[in-house]
Amino acid sequence: MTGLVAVVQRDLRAVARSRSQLYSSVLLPLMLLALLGTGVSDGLEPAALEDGDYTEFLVPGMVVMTALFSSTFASASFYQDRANGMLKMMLVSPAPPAAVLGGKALAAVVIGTLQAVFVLVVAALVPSIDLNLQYGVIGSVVLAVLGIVIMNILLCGFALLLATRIRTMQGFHLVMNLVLFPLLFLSGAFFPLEDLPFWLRLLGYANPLTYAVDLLQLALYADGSDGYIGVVADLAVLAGLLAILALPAVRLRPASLALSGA
Amino acid sequence: MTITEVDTARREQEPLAIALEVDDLTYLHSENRGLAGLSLAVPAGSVLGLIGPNGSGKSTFLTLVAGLLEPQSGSLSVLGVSPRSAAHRLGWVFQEQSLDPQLTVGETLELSARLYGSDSSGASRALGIVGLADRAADHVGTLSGGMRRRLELARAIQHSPDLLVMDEPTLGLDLESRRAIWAYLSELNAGGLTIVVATNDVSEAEKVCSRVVFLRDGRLIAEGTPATLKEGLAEHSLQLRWPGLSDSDFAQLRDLDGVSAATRSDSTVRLTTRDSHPVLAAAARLQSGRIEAIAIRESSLEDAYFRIAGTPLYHDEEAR
Repeated sequence: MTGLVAVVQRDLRAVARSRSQLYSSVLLPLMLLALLGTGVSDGLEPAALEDGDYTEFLVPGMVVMTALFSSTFASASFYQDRANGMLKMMLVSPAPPAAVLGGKALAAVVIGTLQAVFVLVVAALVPSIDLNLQYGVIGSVVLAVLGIVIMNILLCGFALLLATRIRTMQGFHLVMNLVLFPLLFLSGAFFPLEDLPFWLRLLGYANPLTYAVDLLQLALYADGSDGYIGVVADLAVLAGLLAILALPAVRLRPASLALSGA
Repeated sequence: MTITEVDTARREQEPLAIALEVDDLTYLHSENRGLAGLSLAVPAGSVLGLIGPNGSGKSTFLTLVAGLLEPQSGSLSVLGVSPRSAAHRLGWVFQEQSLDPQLTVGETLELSARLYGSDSSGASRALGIVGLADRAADHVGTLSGGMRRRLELARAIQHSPDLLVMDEPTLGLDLESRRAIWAYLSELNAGGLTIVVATNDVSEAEKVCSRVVFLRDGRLIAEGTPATLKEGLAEHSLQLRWPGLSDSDFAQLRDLDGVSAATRSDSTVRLTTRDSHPVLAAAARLQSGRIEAIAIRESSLEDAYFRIAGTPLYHDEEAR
């Protein structure tokens, strides 16, 4: 446990000292919220949105996007640690490999959650954005934060697992961009899924991010549950995915972590 | 507190005759790379030098000792137990640097202490030993290469390990830093610490190592004290930088009376001889190419390796 806490503390310290990493994950979602949200809301006036304007609709999606960027940065630290030998140093210590990898994942989850919550707080403070919070302030916020935490665990876990399999950081970013951007666009973050063609909707429902976006939309944007997947179904799918992700994680061997990129 | 006083009491309480025992250890990355049937025993309190060219199996062996790889066959006992069970009693310095430039010197040791479950009291002592006591608040990124190596050594000894394992600890360092590292190792060993060091810094290694193992192609080809391994070697090693030397002229050199061994790689010729003068005179009479540099030195472990392995320890392009 001490080893895990030590790794978490060290990774948090490293991020706190890397301002570019600290700010870049939140700036793009906030810029999109301001520019795309206002542009589409005022310029196109989408009629299909019933529970609020487009900027308000965009808030849950931008929170998810923040977590997405944050998880990518977190796994970049895995590559840095492998390149600068820190990973090897940690893995030859008595701390179990699971504590080392778990510590890195936990730090990434903490950072991603704080950054996503920061975007949410900034959005909530903008006077023109009126979040519905249909479960009451406390209920909605708790649900939103729960969704953010689960999603961060999923994304960080997935990114770190991927990082153990792909040798170079360039290759990793290529795969992440190839996979994650389509997932983001098909998650309902930028447009509702229900009016899309059947095949596209089908892809959307096969997308894990859809359930995180749906959960956050229910907590922050929706004025009811019609047209949404539902809180229970969202949580069940996300929990199931967590269990599936845990299987390859426990099978990781120290050498595959420390040496595969060497 | 001097290094020799460091935790001698602890080691005395738990006497162990053999610190590291390996029997028929095999791990092959591919057909020609890895370790093939290595057997050796490292007495507690000794300094074992692992010497061999790149690809001879040194790093594979140390990776097995670290428990990062599982042996494909054979057995490996570290301080009487399995490598992972002994992890808290080992100190490590890797060939590649393993430092986070964003951390301070103090934070680097703090992280390691927590990973090893030791208290932080060893940090200031370890920094004092390697001469970095006044740099605790500095970021690692501001340290020179030699200082970083000393910091890694401090990190490796701060939890008072029973076995210090180092992979090429002086690689890439200047002469002064290399000598400083070997001096620290010598003094740590005087305090009872067992050390295993893979190195090609043979001139310093033979002063510090109590035993030396020669590796080639993943196999142990010789083992003994530096003096034993050098026994019977000629007095001089003659090294000539000789671009353009023809094969027939090289053969003439090799066949001269008094030349016990000759090798060439790229433009360098190495001759082992008891008397260098007639050899140099004969060399001057040869017509092909041009001698650009001559070096004569006493026989070393490098020559011993050459005599036993039949191949040089270094190639021209390798840094020493």
